Amino acid sequence: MTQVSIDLMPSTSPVSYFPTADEIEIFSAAAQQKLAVMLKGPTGCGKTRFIEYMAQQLGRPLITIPCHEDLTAADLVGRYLLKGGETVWEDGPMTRAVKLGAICYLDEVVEARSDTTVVIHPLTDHRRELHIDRLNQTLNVPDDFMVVVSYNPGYQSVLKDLKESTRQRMVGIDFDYPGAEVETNILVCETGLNESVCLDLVKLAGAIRRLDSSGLSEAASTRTIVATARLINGGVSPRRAAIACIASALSDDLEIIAGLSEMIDNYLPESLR
Amino acid sequence: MHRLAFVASGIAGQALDIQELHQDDASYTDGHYLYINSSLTPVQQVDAVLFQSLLLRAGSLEKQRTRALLGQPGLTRSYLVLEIYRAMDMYQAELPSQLISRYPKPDSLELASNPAGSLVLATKNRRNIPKPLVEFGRIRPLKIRSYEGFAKGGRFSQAELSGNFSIAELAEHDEDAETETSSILAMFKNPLSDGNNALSRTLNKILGSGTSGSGEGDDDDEGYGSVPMERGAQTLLSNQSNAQIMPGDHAPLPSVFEPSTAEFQYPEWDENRQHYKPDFTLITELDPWEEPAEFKRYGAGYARQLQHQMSTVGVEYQRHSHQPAGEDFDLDAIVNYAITLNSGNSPDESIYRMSRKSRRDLSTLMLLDISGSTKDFNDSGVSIHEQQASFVEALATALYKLGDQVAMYGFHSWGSRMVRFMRIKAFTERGGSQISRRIKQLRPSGYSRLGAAIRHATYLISQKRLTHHLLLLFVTDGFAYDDGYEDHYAEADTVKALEEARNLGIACACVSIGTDKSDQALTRTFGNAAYIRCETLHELPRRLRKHLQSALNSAAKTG
Repeated sequence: MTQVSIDLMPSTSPVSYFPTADEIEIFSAAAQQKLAVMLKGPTGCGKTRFIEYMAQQLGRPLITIPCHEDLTAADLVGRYLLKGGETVWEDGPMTRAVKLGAICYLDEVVEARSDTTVVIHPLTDHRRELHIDRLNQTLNVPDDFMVVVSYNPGYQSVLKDLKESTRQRMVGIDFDYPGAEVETNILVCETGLNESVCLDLVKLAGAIRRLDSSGLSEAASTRTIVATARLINGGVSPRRAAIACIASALSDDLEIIAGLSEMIDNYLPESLR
Repeated sequence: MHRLAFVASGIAGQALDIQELHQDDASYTDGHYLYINSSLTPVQQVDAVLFQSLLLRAGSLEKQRTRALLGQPGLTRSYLVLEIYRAMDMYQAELPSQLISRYPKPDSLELASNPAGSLVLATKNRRNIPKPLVEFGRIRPLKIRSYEGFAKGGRFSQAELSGNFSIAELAEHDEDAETETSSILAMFKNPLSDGNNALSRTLNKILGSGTSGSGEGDDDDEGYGSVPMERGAQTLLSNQSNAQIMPGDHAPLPSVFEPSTAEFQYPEWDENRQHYKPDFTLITELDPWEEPAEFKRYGAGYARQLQHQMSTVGVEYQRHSHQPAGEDFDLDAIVNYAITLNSGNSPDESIYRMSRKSRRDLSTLMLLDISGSTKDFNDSGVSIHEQQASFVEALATALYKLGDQVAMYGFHSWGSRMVRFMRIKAFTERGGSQISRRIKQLRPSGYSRLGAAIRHATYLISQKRLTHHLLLLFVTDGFAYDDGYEDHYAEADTVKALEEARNLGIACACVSIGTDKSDQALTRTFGNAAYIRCETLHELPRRLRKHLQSALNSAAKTG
């Protein structure tokens, strides 16, 4: 049976987010107009953080569903379960989100099976309803309910691309890695590390992102440099932390790791320890 | 890959590799390679890599700038210093902090805001500009020029076509000279004359003068008139290129080239001597550069058939759950079955798991022959190139829709040192309208050095190894022919290149469309099973599957 992770946004701890363009305005307007939103961008550039921030700003609960290839429509809507010899209906995360008037965030949506679109489509067009065929029920969707999907366009193969009919129900917001100044601020804010080391980490990430035809399938994301900064906060030397969180995380190829290590040596020499 | 290659690429923002200079020579770059003096300390070597990459990033080595530096080492050195400090200032937000702190800008040094400004300042203030540090390396304008001869076009000399860059070497001597005077002009200079006699003036007019004639008492000013050295070098290069003779049909060379993305050297098999000629062929990968022309697309309507046929090629087993029959029970489905039954509903009886050949596992690299002969029309008046290009596009679209990894390149050559790969689609690129546009931009010209093309295609397909099945599909109108590459020699080299590919588990097949005759040489080199000749595109879909599957099976056995 497929396990679906559900994350109800705690409302107490404030989520920090540094905008890079007009994404907050677009999202707010889409939420107001009851439109579904599609967040596109590379891994680790802040899509999930953005949706957490927006959920808090709009005061709506957030239900996050990490999609995977075994995720079916039944996993989203709900199913009967055996409990003590009885069959008991349990709502799926999508049904819970509808009932709560929450933001339902389908992370990496193209990984999900294609039958999930059967559920998504009536929720994201003028019908705004959720049909549960096993219960023979149709739920009307409250105004606060919103579907948000995310995916990384450069990562998936064509077979895993979003269907045109699904895309056209969404408002698209493009994300990329933030500029150097914003990224440095993010690092300082997230980790409390001193600014000069954060700046060097951002420079290193920028250099790795500029590598052309390097054999790397992904660039050093904001997430990886935040992890590096955290490791440095944990007492690890900057160089060693970067090798662990960036070089080793990005590739298994020894030659590529050696090349990345040379870059790390340049931007984070041992003397910074 | 050199250990510092990433360091260089990360600064330059383009793919760069590094070679070590074993003689005690200053580090420099030609735009694709950084040549680093190996006698420097490890820290100095890294800094040299950073500075040379920075010059590329800052646009300091663009042709318009470096042309003005030809034959003027003093000016070149000053320009280098100004550009290094300007680039450090401009990109300080991206450079390692330690580099910036180790090389502070001298207080008195005035900087410009762009390379053109640095050139002006270098000419005016040369006396006030410090000599470059050893880590800065040097700028070698002719190395960039001779490299750009391939990338940026212009006409190629016969010497360049055969791999000899005699003009570059001759002028390189000038560039390297410690004096500021062109040695060519020095041959005509009368040591007792001030260069103003009639003969000197005439020779200077013909050949150009050695240095800038500012006439302001500059230490470079030799008083040879006002024609700068670059003109002299241009005259020599131009004279040489006028003498060029293209092998064969005088295939037109395009006037404008896009910058080259990469250069590769491969050996060639010499059947007569039974050994490989190392680094004999030079391949340049380019993006198509010309405006799209009228292009008639053939075979419309057979794309669906092509996709249907290809859907069974290159597939592997995949486990499917919730199946009505199968080899194994599906636990999830059984639990659901029990739950549904208990809740009083009729359950779905698909409770098995089964392995079926349904997983796409094929990478195809299509190599389209765009040599001059494909410009021909067959007996029915149909352009061979347009038919072949239409086929390549349709097959790529079909495979892409099926979820396969697809790459497409056009290729042609002018001798061993100029084999061109026109990138239509790389494996890492997504499909889209640009593919169709690039196909329309292809212009058949030149010849086909098949062995070199197969070797480079083998490199491209094996480098990624994205899937288990790898297929190299060559689309041509006839067997290879090029300068010094024909008959038995060409056939033996092609067989060898195919053997190398098959040893790596790559299936190789060949398709000829629209040609009137079967090519015996292609049949011999690819074999009956992997060579298909069709007169029209419509014949292909039904024949292609069998041939390609047979080639893949044969490669699976070899690999």
